[in-house]
Amino acid sequence: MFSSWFNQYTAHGSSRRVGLKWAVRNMLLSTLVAVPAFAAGADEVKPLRLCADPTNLPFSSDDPAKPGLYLEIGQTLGQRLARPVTYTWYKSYFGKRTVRQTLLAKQCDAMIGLPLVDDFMGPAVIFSKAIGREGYALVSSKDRQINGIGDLKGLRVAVQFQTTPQNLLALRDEIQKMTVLSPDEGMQKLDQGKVDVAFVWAPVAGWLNKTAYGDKYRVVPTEGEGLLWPTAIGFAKAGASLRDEVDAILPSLRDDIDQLFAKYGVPGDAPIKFSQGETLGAGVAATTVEPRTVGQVVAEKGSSAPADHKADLGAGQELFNGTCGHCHGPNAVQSERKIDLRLLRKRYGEDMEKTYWKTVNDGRPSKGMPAWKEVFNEEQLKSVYVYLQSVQDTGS
Amino acid sequence: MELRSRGFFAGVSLAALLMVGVTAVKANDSVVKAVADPNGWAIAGGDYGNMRFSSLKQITSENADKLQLVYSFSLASLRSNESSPIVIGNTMYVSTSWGPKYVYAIDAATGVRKWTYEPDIPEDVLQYACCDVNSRGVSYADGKIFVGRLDGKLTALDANTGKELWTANVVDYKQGSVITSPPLIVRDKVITGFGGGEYGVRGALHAFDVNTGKQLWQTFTVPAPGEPGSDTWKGDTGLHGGGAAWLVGSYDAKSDTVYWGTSNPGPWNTAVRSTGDGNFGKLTNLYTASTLAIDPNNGKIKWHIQGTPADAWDYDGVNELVLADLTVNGAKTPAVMKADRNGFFFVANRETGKLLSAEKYIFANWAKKFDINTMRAEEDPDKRPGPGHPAKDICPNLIGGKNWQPMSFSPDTGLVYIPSNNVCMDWSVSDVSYKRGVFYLGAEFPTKDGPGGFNGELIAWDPVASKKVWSIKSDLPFNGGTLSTAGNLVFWGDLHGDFKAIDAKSGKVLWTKNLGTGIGAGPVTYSVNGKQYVAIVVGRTAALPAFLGDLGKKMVAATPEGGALFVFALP
Repeated sequence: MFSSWFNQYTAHGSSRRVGLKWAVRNMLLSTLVAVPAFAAGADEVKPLRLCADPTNLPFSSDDPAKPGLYLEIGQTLGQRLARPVTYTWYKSYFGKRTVRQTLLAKQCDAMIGLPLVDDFMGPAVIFSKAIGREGYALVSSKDRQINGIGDLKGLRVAVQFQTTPQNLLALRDEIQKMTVLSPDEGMQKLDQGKVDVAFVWAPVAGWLNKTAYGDKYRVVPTEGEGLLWPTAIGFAKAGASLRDEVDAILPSLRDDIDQLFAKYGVPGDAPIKFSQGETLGAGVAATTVEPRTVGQVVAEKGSSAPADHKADLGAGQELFNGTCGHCHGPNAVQSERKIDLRLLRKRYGEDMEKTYWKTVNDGRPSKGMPAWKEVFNEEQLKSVYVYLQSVQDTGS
Repeated sequence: MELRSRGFFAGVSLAALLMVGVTAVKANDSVVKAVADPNGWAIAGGDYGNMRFSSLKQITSENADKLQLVYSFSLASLRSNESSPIVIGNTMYVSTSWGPKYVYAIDAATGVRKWTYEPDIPEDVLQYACCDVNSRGVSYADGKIFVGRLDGKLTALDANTGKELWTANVVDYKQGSVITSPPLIVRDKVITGFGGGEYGVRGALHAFDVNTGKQLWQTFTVPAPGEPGSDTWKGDTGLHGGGAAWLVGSYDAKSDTVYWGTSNPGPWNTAVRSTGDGNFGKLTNLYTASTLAIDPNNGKIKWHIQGTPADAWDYDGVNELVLADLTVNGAKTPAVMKADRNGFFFVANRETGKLLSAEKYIFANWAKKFDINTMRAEEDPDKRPGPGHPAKDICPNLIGGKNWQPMSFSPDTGLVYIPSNNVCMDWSVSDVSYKRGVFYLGAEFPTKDGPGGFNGELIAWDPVASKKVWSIKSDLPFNGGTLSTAGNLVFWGDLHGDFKAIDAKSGKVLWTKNLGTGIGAGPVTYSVNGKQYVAIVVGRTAALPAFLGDLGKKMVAATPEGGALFVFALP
């Protein structure tokens, strides 16, 4: 791993300018400082490779500023195992196919957040002990007391398309259902007063309640068939020894993991038992740190940049042609469409600047694009952006 | 039987000539002209009626064994190449998989490239394409090429240069809706649907202005609460009810009608949108799993035939509508035909919408018969899955008796050549599908081999007598589409990559060439400077076998992925 990183970046710099070599060395140094366990282990320490969805907050995200619950749990695990954590990003849109094509295709060692149930993709997938519980929750205003399915009678309830709540309420004509496609939509309908209750996936509802709705709502988990599951870490069958290692340290991480679940607003209260209609339920977990959003970070960077546009453009062009032009072509002219930076505006529209900062700061290592955050300062990178704006393709 | 007499065919030819006269007024002139040229292949389905029949007869059942490769052309894009090329004059237009990654214009006689179009397809599109990164071809009209894209867009190109003229947004692909099939052009309108029936979309057809890409109308395939037909849904469920029109449309100039099939309803649990059992009454979930007849002027639905009321099996009704004139009970009948996924072959009068027959063309056990008077299937209650009622050994499988791969109809033999599947399944609807963040739960559908020791079968079907005339069995399902020609030939490729010329009357295989990767696309034929060519796109599916367990593994193991165009002719 270590040597391949080195090769990748030196190959990228090849025999260009001395400045770039310095930059590469500087970047490697910063990597070493950031991950001491990695440096100490050198060749022997294998990274803990996690498969995760890059756009699935509150669970996981490829934005380092906002990693999500599962990645934070992974990082905690990695620290305890003294192994650096790396990620294989894959969108989870197609459910089990995702598990097959990542974890079971040996793209990673572990996947956090699989349901701990006997018939889930066994025996190909094996599990750690439970790290928490997740399921569906009833979300409503704090003054509304819902303690069982009977209390939903006569109410307007948002249910998620093709989920257990939808199935559960399907035959109850006394409840007026509104179909929503996501917990986000359910929370919106609740906030707009279009429904009285949202019956949606609890972790997302809890997180939204915390981050977008000022903890305005009561989020109560439910229990019953298909409503609540223990959550675990999944491994491929061949990863039994890693699984055992993880199981051995999980008890000592209990508090840390509980705190992470609470941090992300996953309701940990006693659930309403649906099968028997029992009356349980309590308040929402205490609020902790507010995660920052990508947009905020970008805005701060943009506003701190110098104003002299012309100077920027010239400096940006020089920097671009000296460094970026190696792959992206002198003056951004080259023929491979995927890396044609003249198409940024066409491709990303209003998101052009946001995408620029994200890509330049973090890189796209799997595609050979290094992260430049530690190499050039913000002012230099801003000047490259100003230059790129001047070369955008404006044709139809 | 009169259908096969010479006298009948003289009649068909005359009718065809008369049709051209009518269509010049009603359809799109440039398309009508291109379709009328027997040397071309102007629409992916051969003509406005998706017959996939060519009157060319230089290559015949007498000489087909002498076919030789003229050229091959690399598509530079692997897996799920499902494109039917189109040929206008001496130029062929062919799209590739992945978006499409490329659209090529090539010299149809030599394979020399004229231009390449590469749309800017987002990298994450694979995540949203349920059933692989396919493109089934492009459409032509008024000197333009129209491209439906996986990222939910529709693009018009200059047919001479490949230059992009306009791009319209049809649907947000991030809701699981992708465009995989070529649009239909009627007069000044480019009409397209999109996919994603399982993911909570509400199906629709959209029409765009040929010249500007401006949207002219949009018709939802599922009525909103309060609209006629909305009482076939429980509550508001129709608003996420599916009915996506993701395959190709057909057009009849005489009645000025567009025909399109719609997908299954969602969610899978029928109790949510219907009653959860076979006593669904009026809760049939219109207009899902249906054939729709639509007025191209405004998108209004003229009539419908629902092939699978209150579907519980994922039996999409999207399969292409083939328009042909048949002699039914002694009367010449303007027919519309569909080999439905649910295993029934539907024949209706395409002008009135009256269903004439619906008979099983493969082994199907979910229903004993389809009653054309009540428009209901006589279901086997044991085979209808519902809440708390899993069902076993249901035939056909959700991939259907026939999937998207196009059939063809030969007016010469009066037969339809259907690439069919013989696969069954178990189904439990208590499961729910995966949602973002909601673990990785989701239904699995155990796949079972169909009876008889084969999983696929090319069937020559008599649509009037409703019976099988001959067939060729194969060990794998999901084989390629078919082409029939006046040379008494049927061309067909399979998942092993074997491309065959078959005697249309007897089913005898006359010529086979292995093309190195599985075939899903339908072949096409055309003629340049007096020489007839047969072209086929190859490159097997990769995502669909993932739904099919061990059988899927065999489909993948049969050949490597690929992507190429092969063109054959006589020496």
